[in-house]
Amino acid sequence: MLQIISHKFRSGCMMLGRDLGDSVAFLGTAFLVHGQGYLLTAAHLTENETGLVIIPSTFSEEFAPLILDRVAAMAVNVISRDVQRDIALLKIEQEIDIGVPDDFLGSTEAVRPGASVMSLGYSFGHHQIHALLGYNAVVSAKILSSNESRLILFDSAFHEGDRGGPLVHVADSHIVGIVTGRFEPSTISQQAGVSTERLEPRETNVSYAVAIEYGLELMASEGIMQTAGTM
Amino acid sequence: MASGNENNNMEQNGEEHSGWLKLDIHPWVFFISAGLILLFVILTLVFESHMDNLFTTIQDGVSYYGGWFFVATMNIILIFIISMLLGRFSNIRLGGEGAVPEFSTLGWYAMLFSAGMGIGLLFYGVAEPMFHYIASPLAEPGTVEAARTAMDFTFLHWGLHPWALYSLVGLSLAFFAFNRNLPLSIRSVFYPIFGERIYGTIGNVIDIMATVATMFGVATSLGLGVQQVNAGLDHLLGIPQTPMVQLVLIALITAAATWSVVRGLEGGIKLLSQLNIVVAGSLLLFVLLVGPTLFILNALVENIGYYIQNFPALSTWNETYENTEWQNGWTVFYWGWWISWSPFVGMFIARVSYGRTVREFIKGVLFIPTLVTFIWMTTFGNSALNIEMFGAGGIAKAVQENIPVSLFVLLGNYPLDTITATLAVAVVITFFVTSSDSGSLVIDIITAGGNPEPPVIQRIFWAIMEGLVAAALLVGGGLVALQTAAITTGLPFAIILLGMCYALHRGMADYREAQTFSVALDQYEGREYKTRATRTMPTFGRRTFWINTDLGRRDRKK
Repeated sequence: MLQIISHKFRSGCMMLGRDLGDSVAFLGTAFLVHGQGYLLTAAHLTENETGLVIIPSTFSEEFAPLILDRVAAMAVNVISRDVQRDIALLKIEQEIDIGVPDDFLGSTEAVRPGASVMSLGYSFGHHQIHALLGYNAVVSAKILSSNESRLILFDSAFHEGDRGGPLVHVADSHIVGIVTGRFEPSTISQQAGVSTERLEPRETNVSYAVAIEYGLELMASEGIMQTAGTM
Repeated sequence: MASGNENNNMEQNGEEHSGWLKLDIHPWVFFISAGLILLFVILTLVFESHMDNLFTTIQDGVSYYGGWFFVATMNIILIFIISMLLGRFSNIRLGGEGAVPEFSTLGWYAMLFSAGMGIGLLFYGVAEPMFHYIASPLAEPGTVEAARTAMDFTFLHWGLHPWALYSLVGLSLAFFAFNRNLPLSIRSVFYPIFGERIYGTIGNVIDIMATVATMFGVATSLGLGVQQVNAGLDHLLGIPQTPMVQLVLIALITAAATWSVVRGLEGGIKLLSQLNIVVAGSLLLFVLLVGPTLFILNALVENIGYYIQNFPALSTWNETYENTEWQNGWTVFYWGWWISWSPFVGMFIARVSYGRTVREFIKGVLFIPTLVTFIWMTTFGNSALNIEMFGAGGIAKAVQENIPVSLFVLLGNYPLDTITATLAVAVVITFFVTSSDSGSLVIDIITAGGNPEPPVIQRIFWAIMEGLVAAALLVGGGLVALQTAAITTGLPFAIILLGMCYALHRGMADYREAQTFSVALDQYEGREYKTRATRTMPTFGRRTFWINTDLGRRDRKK
């Protein structure tokens, strides 16, 4: 099942970077949500909207090189941001053919504590390792943050490059959250998911993702989704 | 055979015409189906005197050699649907994630409920248990055990199996139309197997078989209905029960159905059909209260328990060791009838189920109508059994002489029978009109290549055809002809249904798991970046790591 999920979602997961003119800096992970080139990611990665690019990778079943030799970087615009929930909707600027599955956006209603989830992200992008890593976890808890954001806690150690990646519900292979960070109680409660200066993750084994419904709301207000799920 | 294009051309041509010349048909499916059906009608009328024999021969042959296949198919479908209910695709939402149901859950139940109510319930509600009571294949006729078995057989024929079948067809149609945006047609279900070839010959064959099966399924029901109406009129007014009277009745009622189609009385028909459910419900309540109430309530509980207890044995029973022919006229006929009738009910269910999850869908379609049917059958069947076993009797004799009259004989045992009999006749006529009306719509949708709103003129054609086929069947051999038509067209369609199980499963697996994201990177126009070799591995934080090299990949390709 996890193999199927990994296969299904990996091509939709892209590296998010910033074009600095002569080079591109790695920022985190973003994932496709719509055939017209829309992606979701974590808002705090896009605080500075200039020069954002996404870097797609191609996958095969073989062992992949640690470092991608050559990459394409496509400029993306920030369509809308929900800073309170830490979600941003991006759109690829250029016209390019994109295919998405019929059925991959879910709802957190179906995810109960104890459910199997899988997260995907370019965990070590900052370390110049361009491999997409998948993590298996269970939902540790569903909590409301201090600003009433719905968060899913899951028990896998988050790495810096995972920010903005998808959290997938294993039972029905639907995306149910957007990975935001390591769950570090003092930071979370102080800043409620909005932060420019992230502290380095502490040694907790728990990460968190914000509910996909906030992403669906951004999509709905953009008119690319009929209804905002079952909210 | 690029039927898609043909369709588009047809549509464009059609739009240039005005009024009722506007046609939207799939030429192959429409003309071949219509041709086959017309051929049948003409042959029946020409060889009228020989047809009776022929029908009996065909029915014997099909049910003798194909009986086990019907029984196996129905069980496979039921198991498949239960596995769908419990399996990993049960949370797929028809219409995609975020699709909102069109109707409230209660309203939806009412619609499924009304799909389950039909002429058949009135025709067989009293007659079937009575028949099994006096000619039981598994018990000494006329005994307590025979009564129990009679209700068990009735439940088997009207219970979970037919509703699993309708679930399959409805779910398949809804899934491929709403989630995969394919035309609302039987051929679409086979997309996972045949791919684009469903628009070619294979798809045409599938749709033709579905059309012919639906036509004979609906016509069978209409044929039964008209006999029921005739028996009612005989009971009330003394009009004789002859084929001639029945032909006149078919003509009149078909004319009424056609008129309602012409006038576009969609709203009126809908209202009428809802009113009909209320009237049928009151009839049920009347018999329940005026009849042996306590006996019926006891029986309902016991019948359900007995049904569950004997379910595996009875549903796979093939009269192998009894070496009798009993099953051919009953179980095999029902399975054939339900199969040929399934595109009709399936499409209706599909259209009202947008926005439901697979789990909700199967729960609603499999269990709610089954329960309602059990209540109906127990009320009418056990009332009749009560009279036969503990009361005045006489119903068994009436059933043996003439099935359709049995309902009126039962009502005659209770007060106000003129009123209730009139209501019963009205209910049958209304079911007839609404079945004909919506049956012609379903056939029209399929023969229009899946257009959910085909032109009215085509529906009129199919409504008249239904009347013609029902009439031809009655002239050609009465009840036997109706049963033969149902099982003969049901047999090939059963094979399609088995394929449908596989196709639906594969379609859902593809939908949920096999599809991936794709980005056409060869369309990328822009700079490329090359990794800068570095020996130090940074520990944390942003870091520049791609260097613009302008590799000019695209230029180089040229």
